[in-house]
Amino acid sequence: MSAEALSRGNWLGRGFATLGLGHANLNLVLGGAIILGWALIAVFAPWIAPYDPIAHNLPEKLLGPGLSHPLGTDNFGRDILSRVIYGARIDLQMGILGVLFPFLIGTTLGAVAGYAGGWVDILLMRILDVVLAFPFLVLMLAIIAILQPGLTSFYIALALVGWVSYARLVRAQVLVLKTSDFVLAARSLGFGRLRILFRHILPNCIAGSIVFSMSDVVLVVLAGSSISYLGLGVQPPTAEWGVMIAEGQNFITTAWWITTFPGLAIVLMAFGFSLLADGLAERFGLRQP
Amino acid sequence: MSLLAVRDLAIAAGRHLLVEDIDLDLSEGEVLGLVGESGSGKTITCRALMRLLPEGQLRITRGSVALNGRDLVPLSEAAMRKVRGVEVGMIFQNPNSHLDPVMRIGDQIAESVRYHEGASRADARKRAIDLLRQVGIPDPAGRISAFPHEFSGGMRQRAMIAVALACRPRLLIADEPTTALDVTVQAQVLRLLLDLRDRLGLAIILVTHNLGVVAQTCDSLAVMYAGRVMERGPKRDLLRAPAHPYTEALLKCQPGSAAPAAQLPAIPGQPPLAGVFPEGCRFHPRCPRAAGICRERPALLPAGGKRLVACHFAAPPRAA
Repeated sequence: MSAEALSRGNWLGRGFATLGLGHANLNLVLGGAIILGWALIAVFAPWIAPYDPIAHNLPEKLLGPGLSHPLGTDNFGRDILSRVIYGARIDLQMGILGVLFPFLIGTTLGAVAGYAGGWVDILLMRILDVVLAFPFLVLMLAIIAILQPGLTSFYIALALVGWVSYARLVRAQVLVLKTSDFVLAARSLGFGRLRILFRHILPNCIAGSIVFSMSDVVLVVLAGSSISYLGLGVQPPTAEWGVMIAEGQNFITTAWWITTFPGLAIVLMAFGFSLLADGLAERFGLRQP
Repeated sequence: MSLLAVRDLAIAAGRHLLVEDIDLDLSEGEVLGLVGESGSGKTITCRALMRLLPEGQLRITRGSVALNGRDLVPLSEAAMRKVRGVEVGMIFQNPNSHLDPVMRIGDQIAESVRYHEGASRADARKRAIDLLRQVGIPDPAGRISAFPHEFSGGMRQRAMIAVALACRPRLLIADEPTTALDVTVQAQVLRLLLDLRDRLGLAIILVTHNLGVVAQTCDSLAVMYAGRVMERGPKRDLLRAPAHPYTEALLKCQPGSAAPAAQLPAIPGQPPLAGVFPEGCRFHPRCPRAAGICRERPALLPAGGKRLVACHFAAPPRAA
């Protein structure tokens, strides 16, 4: 976070304090509120959305934002607002599942590599180097192309590529913590290696990974949208923000609303997760508020 | 039979012997003070008793550590895990860093009860509350859900004692348990240890470099220098009439032993570094009584009463 943004955060934080909300962690509250908002929209999409997100309605195509269609319609007459609302379901799911698998795999492998050391560590770190040697999106595209375009392939590809960041993050901290005093104390109580690693070391180094996962969600949502945009992710006519932008790009000069609103939705969700990441970092004491 | 009998224990780092000829005896309810300067091998001796030496760096090269007559040195790691925490508990110098910072105090106490005894969650919780009460923490039922950072230094040390005693070990190894605490809290913690000794029949090895602590608490004493035991025996004898020149020099260095206005005496020179220990008696380069014979290694021999001394001038005993 830039210094300017930081000071603005503090100023708003003081505002919160004077409003009687106590010294709330503004980033956490705001980010949480945004993500909660998106989650509610996703869950209640069928009740909120004014129109069917997929049904064509050609007589009303390419209408600008107005009273009957607040965010306008696309070239098939589909309501943009409804499609953005339904798109939240896919994009939120992408963000969460797309981070969950790499998080679990990377954390476990990184912890084992750091704690076991020796050839286990060397082997895992060399595999990690191989994965890192390829550009992220290129490797993703290659794996998805081999499997078959679709969301499942997207998750598999992310799990295969995304774990490396978590593994490195966790390994570095496990290396420090495994010689720490409380680990010696745990050993003096006769605990086994696995218990010490997963009950004592991992809880002490997971905070950094959780914070990183929040900012990783942003990258995953953007990657998912990019891959859908390239035609390898979510398939039309499903409402997904990246797909909507891809479809709308032919009309960008005449119907700006088709691409702009899903774009704003991506930005707003990414913003929410970044705030959450900053807020959590503050809460965990990884960064000074 | 004594609870713990250490014989001829030697610990090496690579080719260098760091600690050797360690002989210690401890019976139920006895408090043994292990005294020496920093680097004299107190801590690694304690860690060797638990078989917790840093892997790949230090190892036990010979000797035996008999606990209730069973030698711990040849035991497998799996068998050793059933000894640690269950038969021998250990507490450390710095309670701030030796408690898991993200685990509730109650859970840390309960964990080993559940792990070693297979106790139910409710029983382990009861034991945790009981232990916190025993170590003198007020409102134990309310405090079990606190995190270590919510405790003061003294309370953390009490909590660490509770963690170490959770499975009711017979022997407690206390590695400088009061060094990181301020003086008033030090006295409280020492009193707590003695109190536990009286109530539970606990045997305690108290590692310290503070002779004041020794005078208040210990029954017997082992003085270490450069990886060897120089002298050991009942505390009263050692403090009143030290037989080894090193023990004598150490006592003279205590503030308060010299006349108030006089400059505090110091032992001339520096303790030797591991790996370049002098031949023979390791103290002889700094010893006021050193003579030619000191280039030969003195054995730890009886020197009257229950005392053992490793000095050419102390043996044969005065009685002879």
